[in-house]
Amino acid sequence: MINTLTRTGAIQVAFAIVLAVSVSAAMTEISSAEHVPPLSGIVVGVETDSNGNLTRFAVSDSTGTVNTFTIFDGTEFGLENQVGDRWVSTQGAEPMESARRLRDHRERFAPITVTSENGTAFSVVEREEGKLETNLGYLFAVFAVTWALFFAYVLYMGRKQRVLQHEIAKLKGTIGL
Amino acid sequence: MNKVLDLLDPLLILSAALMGVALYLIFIWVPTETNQGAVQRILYFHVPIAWGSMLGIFVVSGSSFMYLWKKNERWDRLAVASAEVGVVFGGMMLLSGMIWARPVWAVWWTGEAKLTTALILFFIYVAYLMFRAYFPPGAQRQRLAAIIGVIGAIDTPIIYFAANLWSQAHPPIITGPGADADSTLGSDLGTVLLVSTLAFTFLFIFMVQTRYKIRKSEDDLVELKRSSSASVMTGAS
Amino acid sequence: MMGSLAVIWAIGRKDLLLEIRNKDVVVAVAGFALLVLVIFTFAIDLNQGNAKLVGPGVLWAGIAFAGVTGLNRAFALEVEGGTLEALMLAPISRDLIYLGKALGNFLFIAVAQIIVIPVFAVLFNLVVFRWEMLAISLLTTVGFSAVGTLFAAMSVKVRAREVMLPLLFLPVVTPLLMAAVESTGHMVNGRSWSDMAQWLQLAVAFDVAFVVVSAFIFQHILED
Repeated sequence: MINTLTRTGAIQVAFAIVLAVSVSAAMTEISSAEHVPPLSGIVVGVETDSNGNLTRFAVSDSTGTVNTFTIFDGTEFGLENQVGDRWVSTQGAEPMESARRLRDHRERFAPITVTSENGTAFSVVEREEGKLETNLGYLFAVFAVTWALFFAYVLYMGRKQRVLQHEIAKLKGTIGL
Repeated sequence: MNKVLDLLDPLLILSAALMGVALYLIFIWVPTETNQGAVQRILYFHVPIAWGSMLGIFVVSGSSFMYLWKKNERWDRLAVASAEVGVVFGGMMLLSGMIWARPVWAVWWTGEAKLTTALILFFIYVAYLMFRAYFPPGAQRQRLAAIIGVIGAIDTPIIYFAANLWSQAHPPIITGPGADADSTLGSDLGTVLLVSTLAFTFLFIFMVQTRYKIRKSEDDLVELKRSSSASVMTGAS
Repeated sequence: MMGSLAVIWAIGRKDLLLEIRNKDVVVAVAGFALLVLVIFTFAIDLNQGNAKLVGPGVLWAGIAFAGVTGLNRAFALEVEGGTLEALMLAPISRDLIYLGKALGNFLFIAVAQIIVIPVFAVLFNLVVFRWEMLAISLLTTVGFSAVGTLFAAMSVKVRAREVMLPLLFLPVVTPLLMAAVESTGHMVNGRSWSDMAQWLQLAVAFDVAFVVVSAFIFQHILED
């Protein structure tokens, strides 16, 4: 009797939570509705000042349109060289290295992805969509690890409960209830 | 008999069914997100698990507070049950988040505010469980554990505020394909996330309920042992 | 009101007199913190550039770890002497006992810092004798002793107390530690109050929240 009561209670709580979740999900959806998609393409132009510091660069996307981006000190870079070593830094920290890396990408026709706002680049990174197989590995890892741990935990609880109930039954037997 | 009944728990059936629907939606129905590729599907898993761990912390603090106020055993059982399940969810959250961040942000871990807060809270609730394990059982353990639960709740907004300030002073290095990009999926994302969150919420409730019953059985056992030793003593005298 | 303050001072003074006699806690805290500083000067190849970068972090990490050691020691003495039970029998309200104990711990950690901070200034070659340092140090010590006294009193009966106290204490004081490190960082870089205002406000909020809540909640620890 008490058991069914707590169970109905739990289900009521569950429905209240469901309601709260759906409202919050709807809200997040609204807030993330508008955005500027990042642009991917090949580097076609790199401009530096007299010190060799990067000032502007141009990227040609898949339709052949050339977009020019200016940079600022906070522009982030995540670019790989030919052997795949990743260089992660900002424009303010290494203003010459960014120009060198972009020229290297221009020479290799290596595609990059640029996120920007009003023509100013915020981040310039290696384009990574192509590497689906490595990414699938990550996806698989997450599902394997989490499910394994959840099952292990549930099994652990089930076993603990059985042991306890066994002991209770044994004790009740000895007392003679 | 008991074993069969345990397996037929309606909450478990419900969460298993919803989980099936969620898996179908995640892997077959929803299109691949263009910026991040396949790894973006981790989020349909990561976000509901994170929600579960938050729920855990919320329930621990609430029931700890209620225990200190009402001194009712049930609140203590609920607190320990949701703390343990919350820590399990929290561990999953950290793991799945890291595995997602590696291909998308190009780092396993970064000083971003939500990450830092989650990690510190995880440590606080692990300490809560360790404290319970190391302390001799009884009313005092329940009171002291409840105090840790309440302290954790008070600390949470302060930790978040500090982590936020800290990450403003030291901008996290996030440069992968998902650095600033929002999703290109729109409403599909919301649908999948909703179903998945529902599934994990029911799983969370089921786990807490099971853990609560175990705690109850432990108390019953202690009670039985006491009364049996008492009856043996009266029998001897 | 005056009565309460007198009670708090009486309890704090008792711990202080004991400490002046055997110097257990202050020596433990200062010694431990100094060792952390010295080890880090070897572990990190110190120069003018990185001293400002890593110095504040090393200082406060050292004081936090050393503080835990000191709190463990302080309550170990309490347990050995059985004085906590004696205090509980006294007709004093529990929050005053807490504030008295916290005052004692505050003084220990503060005295240890008077020894540690000048050594830090010498080892890391940084200017620390400024009013900002005093404010940061006071705010952090208040928070450390508020949280530390509560958890140390709770850990008295725990198996493996030496391990349990840092595991409870360190994650909870993390925001305060961040505030201390960041504002010290601003200070050694020669910035003024306005740059560290937000961090100092955070530290004040932390201190107020934990002193009030701990004093209020302490009755549940000593209740039997």
